[in-house]
Amino acid sequence: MTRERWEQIETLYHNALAVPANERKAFLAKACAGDPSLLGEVEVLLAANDQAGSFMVKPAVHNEAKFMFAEAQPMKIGQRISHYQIVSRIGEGGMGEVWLAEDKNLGRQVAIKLLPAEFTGDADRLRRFEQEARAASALNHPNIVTVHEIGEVDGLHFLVTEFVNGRTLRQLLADGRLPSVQVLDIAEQIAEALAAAHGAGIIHRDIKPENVMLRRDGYVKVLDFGLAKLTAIAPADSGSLSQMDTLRAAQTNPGVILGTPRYMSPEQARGTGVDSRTDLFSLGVVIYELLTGEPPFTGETLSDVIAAILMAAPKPLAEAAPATPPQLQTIVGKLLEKKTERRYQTADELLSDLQECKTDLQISARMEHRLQVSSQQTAILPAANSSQAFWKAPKVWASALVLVAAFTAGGWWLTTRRDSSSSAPTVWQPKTIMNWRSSTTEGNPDYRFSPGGEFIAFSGIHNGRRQIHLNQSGEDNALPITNDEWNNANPIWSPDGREIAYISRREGKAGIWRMPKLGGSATLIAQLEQSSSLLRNWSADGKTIYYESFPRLFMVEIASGKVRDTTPVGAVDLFSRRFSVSPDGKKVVYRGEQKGQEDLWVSRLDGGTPRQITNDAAVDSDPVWHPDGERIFYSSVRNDVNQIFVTNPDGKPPSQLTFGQSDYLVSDAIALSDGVRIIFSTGRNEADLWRVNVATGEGQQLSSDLNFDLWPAAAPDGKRIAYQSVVLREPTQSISSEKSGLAIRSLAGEDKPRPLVTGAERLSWSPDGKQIAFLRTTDGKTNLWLVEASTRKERQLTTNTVSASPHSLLPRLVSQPHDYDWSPDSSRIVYAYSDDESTQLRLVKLDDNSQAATLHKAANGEIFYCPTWSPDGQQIAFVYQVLPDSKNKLRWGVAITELATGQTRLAFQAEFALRLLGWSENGQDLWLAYGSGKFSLTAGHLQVQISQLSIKQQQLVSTFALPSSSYLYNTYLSPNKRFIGFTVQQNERDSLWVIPVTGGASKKLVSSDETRTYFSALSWSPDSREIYYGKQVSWRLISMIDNYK
Amino acid sequence: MNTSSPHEVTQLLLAWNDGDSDALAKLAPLVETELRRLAKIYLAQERPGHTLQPTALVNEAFIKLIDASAVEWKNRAHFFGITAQLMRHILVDHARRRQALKHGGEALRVSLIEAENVAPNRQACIIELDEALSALSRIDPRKSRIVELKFFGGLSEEEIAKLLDTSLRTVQRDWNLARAWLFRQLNKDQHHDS
Repeated sequence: MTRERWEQIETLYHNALAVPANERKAFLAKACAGDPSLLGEVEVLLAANDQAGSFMVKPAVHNEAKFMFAEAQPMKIGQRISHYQIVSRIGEGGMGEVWLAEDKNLGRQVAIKLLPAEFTGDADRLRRFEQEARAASALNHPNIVTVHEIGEVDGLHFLVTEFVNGRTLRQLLADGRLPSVQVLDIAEQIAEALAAAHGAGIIHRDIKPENVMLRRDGYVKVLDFGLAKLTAIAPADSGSLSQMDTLRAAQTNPGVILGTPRYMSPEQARGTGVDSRTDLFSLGVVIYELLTGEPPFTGETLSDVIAAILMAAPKPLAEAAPATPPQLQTIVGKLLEKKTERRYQTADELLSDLQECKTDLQISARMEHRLQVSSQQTAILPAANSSQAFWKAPKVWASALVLVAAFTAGGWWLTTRRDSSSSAPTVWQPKTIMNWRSSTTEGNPDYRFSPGGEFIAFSGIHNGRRQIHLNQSGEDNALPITNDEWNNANPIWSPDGREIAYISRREGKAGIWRMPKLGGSATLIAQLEQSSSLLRNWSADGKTIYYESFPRLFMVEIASGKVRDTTPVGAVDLFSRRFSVSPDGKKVVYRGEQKGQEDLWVSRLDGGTPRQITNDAAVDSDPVWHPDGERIFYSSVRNDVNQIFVTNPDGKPPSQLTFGQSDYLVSDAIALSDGVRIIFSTGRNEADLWRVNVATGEGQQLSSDLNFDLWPAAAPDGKRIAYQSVVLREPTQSISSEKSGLAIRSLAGEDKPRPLVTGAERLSWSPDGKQIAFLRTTDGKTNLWLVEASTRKERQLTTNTVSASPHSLLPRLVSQPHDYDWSPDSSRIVYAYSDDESTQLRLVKLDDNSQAATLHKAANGEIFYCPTWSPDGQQIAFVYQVLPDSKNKLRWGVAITELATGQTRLAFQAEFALRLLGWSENGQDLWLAYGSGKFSLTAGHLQVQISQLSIKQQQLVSTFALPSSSYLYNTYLSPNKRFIGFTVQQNERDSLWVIPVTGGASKKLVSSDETRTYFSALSWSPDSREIYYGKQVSWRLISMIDNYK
Repeated sequence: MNTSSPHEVTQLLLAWNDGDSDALAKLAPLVETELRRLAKIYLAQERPGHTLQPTALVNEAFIKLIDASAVEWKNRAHFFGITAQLMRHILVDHARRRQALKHGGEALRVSLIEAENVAPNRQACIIELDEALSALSRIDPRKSRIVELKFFGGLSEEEIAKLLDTSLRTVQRDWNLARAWLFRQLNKDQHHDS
């Protein structure tokens, strides 16, 4: 339909609607005289309008959300599912919650586990799981949990098993390692279960401490046979990896399912087929952990763990748990063999070794006992250390055994080492091209080689805008080749290497532009409909450019600007594609999603059925053609980290090229005379703490480790500083409790930082300097906790959620100086709380365990921020925000609650965001900061105003402006209430300033010597003489694999 | 502690707005997880007579995920323009996944109409609507945008007028025609049959 035609229809449609219904026919007949098709179009639309009723009247989420609710439906105590009544929650299993229930028909206790909807949708897979779970249960083995029922009610699938009254091995491990005798006993029972299951052709695939329970009477029960089949993302018969899938599930459902690769076998980690010997390896890992309290293969990141499983020899048990009988050491060594053929071949084989070991141990234990008894009788021999002595016992009897065992143990150590080197895959060592100092919002752009490889083009932030940059081979830097007022991105090279095409977003409209490679005037090739388009390839003949407008692929003819939709026919259902056109222009590879699995697909551009080229549980992305037009490089997630892979044209599984610790995202590949060069990038984020003297401007670095250190806070005595420290490699990497904590260090000396607590953020010292309050989030709820600075003793202070800014890792997005506040006498803390009914200010006392008291309450629709105690401890000021509704705009204000009377009164209202800096020294006024002028979410630059709010007069009595380009969220009032510390960002450089609250001249204390270094989370020393701050830097590390053959 | 979502969402949203289309793929599951988490909390606290407000839920999800106080009105509307687009992707994708899981039974067809008004031939799937909307965008991008903001983003017509810097009247007229056009697209088969 042409534009004109559409406009014609539109005008007529509206005109006809304006005419009374009974006159429309006549009106239209006249208006469309001689154009029956126009009449038809308009009539159809008018009829549709009449029939549409409430079509689309409610927002889409209204209906779709119902399904989300249904999926989120939790179980409740007392609820009945079929003939089971829920009694209590037993715990969180690998697959979701486990509940204790009563079988009303048979009057017995059972355990019920809900099967997550995402796994039960596939009827085939559900059937396979049922088969296997039932088959295992049917073995009627005392060490295999009995499955009573796999049922379904209202589309909800659940698994009912015998209730095991006991603890999982994971829970046992929480109390530390177990004695060898007990481990041996547990191992034997697990091996019994595995022997029975393997005999019936059933592999568990997911043996780990969570899946084994020890009943109170000493029986071991192996849980969840078959479950791995259900959760497998890949078809169950293609050697799928349950443990990998747990990881993948953890990625798509953060916080819901937590996976660990620690119990994975090497063959699972490689993604090659698994058999019963996989269970034996995992059992070896479990036994090792039971003996030592630590898993054998560890690492800071998941990829480290995987690398360890594939290549490292674990710390010998002789060192990690010297009390372990050598026989058992040997058994574990044989279980942990990386090559399946060197491992125990069957569970029966293992079982007989375990039993032999057990017998020997019992003999030696008996002899030991006899020795002890005799020593007691004679009272001459010193008492033997029983735990050490289990296998040491009578020298004459045991010496031969010990000798043999020691030899075997050493042999294992050596063979594993040799093995790992010979079986390790070829690792291509990436070479660093450039450490690009990026802005925190730069994202992950494409990096493209010029055809000869001399240059790399990419988009990076320059002066607050996205500009095309060029890196020249051998330089660790890049220069902008565009520098205008627009955002320019996605550069691609012309085949002759002379030009660059890119997308420029100008006044809300995106277009494809071209320019000479070293800069110069750009010309428009075509306007684009969608602003979020991506350029993909420039054809070899130089005549066309392919681009992607989600979710389709288009081709634009450069000479004419004509656009053609070239999305492959029948392309599988996709969410985000990232098309890449083959060098010969005949094929296209893209990311596709099918059955919840993200793989790569290839289609011919001239039609035909799409061909799936990867098929694994991992997310495959960023495909790029090998210059040979056959193979494809891509990134695929292994244990949370993207690694580089290449497909093999002969049908062999893809090869993994890198084993790095942070995401490697493939950008481009070119052919050079000495081989293929692949470019990829990864991100890194660092923050260190610094101090600066306000009078002299002298500065000093306080922390310089690899952690992300931020939110410094000096103790009231001014001698120590506490701060948040996070292990964070990627700017967007999720952090978990074990990765973030509080540390403390002396401000005087060189001593090392001392860790205080983990899983903590937003700390605050009590005014008496004894304790530190902090926020900790567990089960999605944030609460206040306390830790004693000297003893590290911690305790939870609140139990029902504290409202807090969610941006503790991005201090530059935190709008208020604090979330909660200590009373001046250190006896209480005030904080904000909100649920779906109301918002409250609450007070919690430290010295008793009574519930927090509500200080002030407002209806939902208001949010409270930054409660701040007055210097005399009598009042609390806070910021409130009223959410907009159909009538009102978003509003802000400041209110004050009188503690004695509980009365709350408004002090000030505004239609702009307010930041509450604090009280004046005499408690008569409040200091506020707010922004005016243009605001950018990315840069956040504002004209920042500081105002003195007179509480009595309820108005701003004085106002002054900070220098231009000051950053609103970095304004902090000094403890003596006389200065404001703030930062200014100019030309991508931050500087730190102070200004007297009387509005005098501002003074620059320190400025960053490098671009894109951000100062954040300023904190004053108690004597107002120093400011502590975090210096935050982001990089993108651009690397390549060279000479790839 | 799971501070990943808020931290990530703001960054990803910015990156996506900046043209990093990959950010979308990462963003959607995060927002969806937050939606589900909230839904769970809501349900756990459910009281008799208390009905769920999905739109409020979405707003709350975004307010929790993004520091809304940081955004001024004009930017806030702009921001909701982005989130509308994001909601479209999330909801359509969610419907797709449900469809894939359930092998396309009738049960998954989402009624876009209130239950009492449902006539069989008026049922339409949100996935088909998404496709129709993409078709509309090729004919008339502005109308498609308005539908996206109103239907997927839950914005009021006044807010849309402000956001697109146009009159309320234009938004209402565009919405009327777009709705009729989409309704017709989705019921084309029935229409021809009858």
